[in-house]
Amino acid sequence: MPRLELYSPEGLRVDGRRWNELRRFECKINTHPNSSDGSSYVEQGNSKIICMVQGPMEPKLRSQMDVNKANIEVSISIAHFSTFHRKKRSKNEKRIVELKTAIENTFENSIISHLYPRTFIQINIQVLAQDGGLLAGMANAATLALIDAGIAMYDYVSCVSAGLYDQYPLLDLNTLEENDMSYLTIGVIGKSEKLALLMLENKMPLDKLEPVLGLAIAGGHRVRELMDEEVRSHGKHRSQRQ
Amino acid sequence: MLLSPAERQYLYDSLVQNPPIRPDARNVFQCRPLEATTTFLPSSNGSARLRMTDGAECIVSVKSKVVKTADTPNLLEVDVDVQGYRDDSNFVATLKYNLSSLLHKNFPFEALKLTSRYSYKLFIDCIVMSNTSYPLTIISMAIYLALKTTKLPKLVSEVDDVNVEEQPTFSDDWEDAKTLGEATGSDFQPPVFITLGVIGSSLLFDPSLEEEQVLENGLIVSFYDGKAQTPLQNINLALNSNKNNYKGLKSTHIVSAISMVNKYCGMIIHALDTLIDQDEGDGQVF
Amino acid sequence: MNTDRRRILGPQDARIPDLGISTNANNSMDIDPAGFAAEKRSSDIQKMFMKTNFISNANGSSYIEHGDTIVQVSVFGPRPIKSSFIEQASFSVECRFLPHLKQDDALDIDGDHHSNPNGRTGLSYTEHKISSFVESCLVPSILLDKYPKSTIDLHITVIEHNSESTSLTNLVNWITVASSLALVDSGVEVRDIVTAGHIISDGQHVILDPIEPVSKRTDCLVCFMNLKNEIVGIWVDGDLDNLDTAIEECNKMSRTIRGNINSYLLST
Repeated sequence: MPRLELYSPEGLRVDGRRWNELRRFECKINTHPNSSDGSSYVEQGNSKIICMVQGPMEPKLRSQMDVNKANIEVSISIAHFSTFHRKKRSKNEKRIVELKTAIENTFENSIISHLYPRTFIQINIQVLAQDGGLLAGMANAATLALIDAGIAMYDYVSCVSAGLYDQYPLLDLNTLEENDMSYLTIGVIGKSEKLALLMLENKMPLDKLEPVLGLAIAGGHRVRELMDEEVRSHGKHRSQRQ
Repeated sequence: MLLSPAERQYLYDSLVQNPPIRPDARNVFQCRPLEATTTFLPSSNGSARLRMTDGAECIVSVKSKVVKTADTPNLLEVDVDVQGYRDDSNFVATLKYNLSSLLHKNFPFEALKLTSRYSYKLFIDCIVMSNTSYPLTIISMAIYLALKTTKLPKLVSEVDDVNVEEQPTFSDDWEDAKTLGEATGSDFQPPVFITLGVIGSSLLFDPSLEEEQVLENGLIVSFYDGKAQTPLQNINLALNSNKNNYKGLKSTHIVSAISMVNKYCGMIIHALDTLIDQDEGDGQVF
Repeated sequence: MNTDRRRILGPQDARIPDLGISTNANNSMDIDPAGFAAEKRSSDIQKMFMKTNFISNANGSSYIEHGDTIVQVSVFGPRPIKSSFIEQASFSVECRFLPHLKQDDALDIDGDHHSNPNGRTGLSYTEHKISSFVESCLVPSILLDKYPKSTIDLHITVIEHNSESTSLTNLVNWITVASSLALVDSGVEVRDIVTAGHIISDGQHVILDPIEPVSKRTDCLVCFMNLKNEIVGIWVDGDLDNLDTAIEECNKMSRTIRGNINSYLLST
């Protein structure tokens, strides 16, 4: 069987994109006004992710209380039907726990948590469909939901994945591409070139790391613009209504 | 603690009136307003999202798989996931048991038959994103919407494959796909559960969280084929009540519950069908 | 000194309960070949054997044998709780089948044929369902107000159940009876003793307490508090026609069982 051509000599990828193009990125905030303090919905290509934030609120247990800063907890649930073949996943699966820790660490440093001492912030992420860029989509959804909840953050954390195919860096991979190449996921802080999140799960040659990172940061800035647009248009809509 | 003793007493007293005065001015046979979208998951055969005014929300996906009929005793699998509850908790397990028994007893299984050897198996996954009152009604209504909009690919190979070793093949064109109603050749209406709260001599459809706190008992009745059906059970709805008024039922309660379900559920089903028609079908979740 | 704190251990001088003396629990009712007895008699209920107060470290216990069904229930409580104050006792029920028993898998949830594999720690769906049904049946009868800041736990063990011949509802019928018997034995204050009746009917004829597999249209299990004729639990499968007669028949059966329980309790 011939191997799937992930990047054609003409410079086109399996879904017709060029190397530096993002997939369709759509987002909405305040999707669940009645059931959570902040909520968002993100579609990145065919991945669909809902995020709901509760808090800052009083912690249920003493152990969840920190006198100096807010305690942030992320829970991820991935729907059984989210992949092409239905598969049951347990919430304690190693991979999910790892993603959860990565997101928790990212937002613990991005939220100005010393403003909310003795409180608890719960971030619930629900993945409805996944087609690559799982971590990036979840972190973007969490950023938007936190903004909707009015929780103070230093800046946007905008995430995107980028991979290396042969020697070409490719932006925002889908499942097919993810399965076949080494890739990393980054979270860029605002318009800067600082990273709040960097996750590389397989090998990448050191000399190729820089172009891939450069591409990913540019992609992250674009994602930030798209999220900012949505936040501003929602804000305008809200202020007109009042 | 949800309600203070005074609030409880006030709510109780207004609900035992004849006719009862409900906090949201609903009639006894009215459900809370619903908002729904359908067919937004491209990788599922059917999907629905249903939201109530109090923020309760449920997402259901229906996925299908071709199986050998002889090897699979069970052509319908229901799974329930409620945010904030463990999968092995009594709450989730009982919901799952009730929904499975509802669908197993009231489902046109012939619609899933493909050939003499193969069938479709349906996987119904329900995610309760947030819930306040007992979520059985909202889940079963979301299942209704998802099953109603489920489309299964059209078989293009032979129906009779007793003697031929042949895998079923399907039409590539999604336009040919049939809904379960078209497959049975009738107006297919999946079964639904209605929860009724019992208080004094009255029965309340779809009790809200506050109403659940003061109810004396609860009933779940199924509705399929234009009339009340089994499973019919009583259930303690006030799960998170700090002090319950739980009492026994009279047999008149059960008889009138059945007649109320017979009388009003047709309208609920009609309303659900209208929700499907009103959906723009643009594949958007929100 | 024994230092195992994870389990509730029996006393050091524990003795095996004296349970070999089952009465003749064989099928003594004749069901006509057509499947439905032409006439129904109140004596149609199977013979049963009951015993209470045989587990010394439980506050109350009961044991019932009925046909192929053997159920044992123990009550722990009222016991104090450690957490914050509650106005009335919390009541919980846990039902477990012994691991070798085949559970009713008509629904076949999850496609597992043996919903009770070895090494399982959680309850199966059927066990959960029975637990919550029995809990909702017994809650109205217990005076929970009398026991603030405490908990009452009821543990049901199904020792024998033949899922081929006996329906799940029939099993639950006897579980409910055994549970209320154990509650009485524990001395927890109750408003009334909950008893149950289970019938099947084909529209014209009714069989009380069916333990042979027969074709049926309605399968109806109703639990009562007989004193005020209150229904505390109802579980109906099949047709809903003539439900009021079915409830009436269940009531008759529950009264018969109640009579038996009364005479048993008076004699012990």
